[in-house]
Amino acid sequence: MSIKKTEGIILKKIKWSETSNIVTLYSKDFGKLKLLAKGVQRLKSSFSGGLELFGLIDFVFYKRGKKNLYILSSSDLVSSYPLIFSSVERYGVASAGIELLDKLLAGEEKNEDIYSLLVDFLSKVQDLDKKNLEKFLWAYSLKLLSLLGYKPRFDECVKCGKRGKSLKATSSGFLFFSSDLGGIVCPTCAKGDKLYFRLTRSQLNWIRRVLDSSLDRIEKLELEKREVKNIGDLILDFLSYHTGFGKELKSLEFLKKISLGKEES
Amino acid sequence: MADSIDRLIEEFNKLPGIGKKTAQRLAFHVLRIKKEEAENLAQAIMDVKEKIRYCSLCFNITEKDPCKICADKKRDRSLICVVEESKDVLAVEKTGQYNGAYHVLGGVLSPLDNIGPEDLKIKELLNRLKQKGVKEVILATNPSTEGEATAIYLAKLIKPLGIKVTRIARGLPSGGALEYADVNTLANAIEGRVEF
Repeated sequence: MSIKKTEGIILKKIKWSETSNIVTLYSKDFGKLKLLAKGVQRLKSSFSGGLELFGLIDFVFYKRGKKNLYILSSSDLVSSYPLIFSSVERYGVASAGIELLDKLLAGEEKNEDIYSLLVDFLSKVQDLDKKNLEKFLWAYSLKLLSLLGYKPRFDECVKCGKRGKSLKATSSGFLFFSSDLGGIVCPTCAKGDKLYFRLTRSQLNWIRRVLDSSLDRIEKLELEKREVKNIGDLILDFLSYHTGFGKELKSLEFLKKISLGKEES
Repeated sequence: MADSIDRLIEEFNKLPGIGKKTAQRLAFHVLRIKKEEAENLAQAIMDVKEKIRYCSLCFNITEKDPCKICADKKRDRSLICVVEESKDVLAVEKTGQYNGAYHVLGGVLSPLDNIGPEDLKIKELLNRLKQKGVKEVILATNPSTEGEATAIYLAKLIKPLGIKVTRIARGLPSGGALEYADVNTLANAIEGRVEF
């Protein structure tokens, strides 16, 4: 492979040797890439601005030998999204967003929609109101899942296919969700089975609207904190069923530690 | 090869930056040196493991508690420099420019590694600050994503205590060239300029 040039966002960095790092990026033109950045930890490294998490960089890279690792030959920082660090909650949510992306993607595959979702996510995380952070993270996760082809069915009952007005909630206003069937289940089909997630009408409507609107509008889609939490649990359950991870995402544990999602302190 | 030398090679090989060949060379070197030299080496390694602990005030590594720096009466205790690791204390000490106390956090906030505030010595720092006499806290975590986030987090906690909080300057390294500096570094250098 010859020398290539593109832009991307840094998802992960691992110390490789005394002065070199391996950075994982999500690039605009090649999808997820792993690059060896030689000598980046030296104070006078030519990788200007260092290669730091969340950084949006323009970079040039090439392949050496047959290894599945590329060599980074130069990089320029475009944006570092500095306001992410203005609060520890923001920092945690931004980390969860990139960790999820990194975990969900296996290899190089170009997808510009995902790329722009990621860019929007990071720039938006910077100035969101603190109370909207958790909601925003789940909205991003839903959108990411659907772009990756994991989108659960929220329009009809996965068992009987009822949709629209004939899809009725229980008398107390609940519908159900099944991770293994990958979508919502109407009360008749669920028959009170405890294995299903309970989902309110308003939660379902919120999810549908999130999937139809852009990330900028998420802030305006109101949902109570308790309901946000339920949707989060649902997404994590769905994730762990289909991908084998979810609740054990490290940044989510971090968020729990600093108690995002609990009562406002 | 003899088992014992194999074992020694194996052990050297585990050290950072030591490959198989270097490990072999080191092992054969040990074989050639005098017995007492070898004993010194072994003793030095054991001493480090047995005698070194953490200072109960600043959490730097030390043999005596409190550590030399904390016990030194000539040091200015109204000044605390907060660093990530003990090796950062060494680095700052080498400059000879600093005469205050330290506080070693033992890491940085890192969501991707699930390292939160309570995994670091932050509570201990705040307790230190609540006792009288501290006038300034210098945040000297690395200028990396994690270091920066940690510094901002600490600043928010410390400022309400009415203590001056400063961050180490970021800018151009000596011998560097402006044209190769990235936007951030250069912007920081200009923003943090000092009167000449």
